[in-house]
Amino acid sequence: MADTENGTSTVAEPLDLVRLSLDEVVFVKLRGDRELRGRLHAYDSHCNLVLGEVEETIYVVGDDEDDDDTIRTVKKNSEMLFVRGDSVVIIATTT
Amino acid sequence: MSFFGFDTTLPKDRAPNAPHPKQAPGFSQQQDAFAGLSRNDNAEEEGYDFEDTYDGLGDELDERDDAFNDETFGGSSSAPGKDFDFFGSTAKVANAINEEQLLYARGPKKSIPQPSQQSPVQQRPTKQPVSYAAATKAKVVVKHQIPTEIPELKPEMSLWQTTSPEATPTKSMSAHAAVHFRHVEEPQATSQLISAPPAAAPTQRKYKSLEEVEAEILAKKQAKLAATFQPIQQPPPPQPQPQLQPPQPAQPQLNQQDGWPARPVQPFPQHPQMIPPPQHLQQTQMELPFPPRAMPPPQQNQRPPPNDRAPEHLQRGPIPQPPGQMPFPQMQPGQPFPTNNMQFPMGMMPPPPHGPQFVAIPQIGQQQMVHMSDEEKAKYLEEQSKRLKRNHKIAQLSRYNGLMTPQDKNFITRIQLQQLVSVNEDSFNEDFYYQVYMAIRARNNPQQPLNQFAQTYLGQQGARGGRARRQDNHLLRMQQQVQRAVAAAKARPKASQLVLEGSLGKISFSNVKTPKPLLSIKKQDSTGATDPNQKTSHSTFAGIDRRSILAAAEDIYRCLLELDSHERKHPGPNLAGHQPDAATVQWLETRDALVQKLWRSMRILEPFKEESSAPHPFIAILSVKKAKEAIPRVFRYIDIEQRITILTMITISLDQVDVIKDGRYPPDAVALPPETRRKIEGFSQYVLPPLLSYVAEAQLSLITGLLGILIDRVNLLLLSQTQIGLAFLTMFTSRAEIIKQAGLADDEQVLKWTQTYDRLFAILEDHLLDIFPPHGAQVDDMYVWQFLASMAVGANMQQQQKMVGAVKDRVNENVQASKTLPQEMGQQKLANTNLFLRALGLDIDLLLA
Repeated sequence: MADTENGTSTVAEPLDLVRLSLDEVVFVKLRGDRELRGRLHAYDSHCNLVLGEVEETIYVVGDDEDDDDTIRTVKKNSEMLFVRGDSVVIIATTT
Repeated sequence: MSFFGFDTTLPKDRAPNAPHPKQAPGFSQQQDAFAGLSRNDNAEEEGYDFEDTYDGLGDELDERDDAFNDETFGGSSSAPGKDFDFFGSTAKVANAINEEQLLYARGPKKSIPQPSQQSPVQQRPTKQPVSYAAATKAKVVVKHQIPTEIPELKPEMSLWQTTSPEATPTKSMSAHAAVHFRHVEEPQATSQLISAPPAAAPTQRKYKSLEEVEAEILAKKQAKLAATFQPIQQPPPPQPQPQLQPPQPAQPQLNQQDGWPARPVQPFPQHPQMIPPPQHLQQTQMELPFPPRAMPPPQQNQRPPPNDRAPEHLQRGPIPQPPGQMPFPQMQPGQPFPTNNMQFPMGMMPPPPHGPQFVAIPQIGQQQMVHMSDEEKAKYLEEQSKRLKRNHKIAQLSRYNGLMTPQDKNFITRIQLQQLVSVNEDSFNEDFYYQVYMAIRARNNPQQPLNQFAQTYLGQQGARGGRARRQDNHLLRMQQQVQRAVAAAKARPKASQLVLEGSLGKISFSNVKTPKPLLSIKKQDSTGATDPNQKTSHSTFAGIDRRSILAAAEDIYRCLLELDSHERKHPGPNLAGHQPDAATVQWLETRDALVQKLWRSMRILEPFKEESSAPHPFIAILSVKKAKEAIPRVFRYIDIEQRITILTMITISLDQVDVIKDGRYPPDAVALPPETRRKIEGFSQYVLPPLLSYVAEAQLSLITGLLGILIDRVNLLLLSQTQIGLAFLTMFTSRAEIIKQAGLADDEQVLKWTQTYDRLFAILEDHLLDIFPPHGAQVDDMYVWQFLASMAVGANMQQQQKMVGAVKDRVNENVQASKTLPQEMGQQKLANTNLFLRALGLDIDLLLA
């Protein structure tokens, strides 16, 4: 906040990068082979996130029917999602 | 005879008129107390009475052997001896000798002996004519002098007392001044004196001493004393002595002169008593007839030497001691010295005990001196005084030379060093408050690094134990020493490279202070990228660095939030009314600053780049959804001018705005991509309303100008094919039409507007169909009809006909579509189309019918 002229001056800590993505669509990788893609509405220092218009992707390895190690993906859509920070691995901007 | 000389006669034996009345208070009453005790009667009532209380024991004393009292205690017939009365006896003798000396000194000058000196037994008080100094002299001397020395002293006293006619005026002056006076004034007189005294002195003294008949010893000593002075009184031979004449040669020289064995000089005699004041000797020398008062004047006041003087006198006469005792080799006792009027700086000059010390200085004979002119003399004297001073200083300094052995010096040095160390290390014991103060003060100084303070504090903790913890202190001190040594070693720049002799390369090594760099990271690139100016005003930002845009948008929001929170801190309505109070003023100031900051954060004033196709920073920022959403909030804080600026900026760059750039329907596309649609939504929802609200109040000239900008600089065809672009055009034309119809603008402005409108129409008239979305029947094309309506209102008849001809098919299409579409949508389509038709003065019902 010190220098508003300086675009990067607002980035003082890692979470400030997350802040830049507020109200933007972000890609979030979670533990348990899950990925989220949605608009970031809020976050906190624990990386708890509130996402909107979320598309969740779950990767499932080889299943009951075939013993193959094929990977299935399960997709879910949620209008709004709260993500607990301890499962967050990556927060990335899209595009 | 009683032992104590009391009256031992019994009361009863006394005569009735006995000297001591019985009732008289006094001695007898003391006796009563004893008597009362012994008799134990009621004597108290009547008062004590010697008679009553006397027990008569005195009568029973055996006085037979009293006859031998004389043998035991000495003869009682003669008065008690006064051998112990040194004062009295010496005073007597002093007077006698004073007289003698006075006569001796005055003889040649025919001065009249003072009357007081006639009586040998005179006491001091009677000698009124004698100078005060003389009186004090006599007093002091008599007091302290040992009887045997008296004769020796006497002559000097007398000399001193005999104030010659010239000297009398000087009495009131300080002795020093007197010396000066006399010397300067009367070189002639002194020269006169030169001849006479030597002859007269001995004879007169002899005569007097005989007359005195005090003692043979006295006479003898006086004779010796006279001998001492005689040679001095002779005119000094004009002897140009070599400078810094070595002492040893000088002394023999003197001895030859007076025929007097080297006079012992004890500069630091062990005389315990306070002896004659300095004046004594000085006066003595003054009175001496020898021309140049050889004795250096300094002796008079500054000198501690009273001590020195006395012994000098004591030893002078009787005991010729072997030479060689002189600590100051330069000294030459009794050496005539022509420059006795030298003025020594007050106090600083402890002249050596004897004037002769100064002999080492080059001298000019008295004769030469006499012949000198006054200037020369003055010059010479000045020079002499300088030399004297220097000489003396050297003597003073060198007095204790060689007293200390190297070991001593080492010892002292060690003590001093220790003290230094203790000042540094143990300072908390020495001056605690200062240290604490400094620590606190240093703490308050933000520049001071924290660890330093910690160190200070720790040091304090360590030293706090005080004396009880001396041992710990030593340990601590040692630690600190080590610490300091390490710090010093660190501070010393260490060579990071080693070049072995004869080798071709260098060996570089690392240490804690200068680690060997394993990675060389150049920072230029990163700094260049993060440089705000470069990024914002040049290609970096223009390249639509997404992160920069996001950060800029974030900046805007920070400023907005700050402003919002500041708004909440408003001091409240000013009850006083007229003048805003200080809080309000300050609040307003802060608000202005924040608004300014917000304005800057929007980067709207940053210059365009000419050849670059990249959009203006503000337009780039505006591409972000949240930036669009921020616009209404920004508009709440900025003033009219800034709003115009934003409007103008957007207008100028309208074809750069994402919603227009991406807003054109791709060929054969039924609808815009959802992302773009969302953007357009956002823009029209957040950005357009504030602009519209402003335009709704704008002047016609402004509208004309903006439309002109659009026509000149912006791709109107592109604009016309996008929802937002059409919205802008609609906005301008409708506003202009309202102004025109309301008659708020003068003819000139209207004319200008009409011209501009004609240009716009000319551009668009052939593309009126293209402004419709490709598959307009299925999508909401209301904005298009709105635009056409606003255009139609402002158009003249020809233009209206063209428009109708252009969109006639579209109108019919819509009417047809409305019939197939659900009721609501169909109604809406018809309503939209009707907008245009009504603008033309028609109605959809005519078509439907």
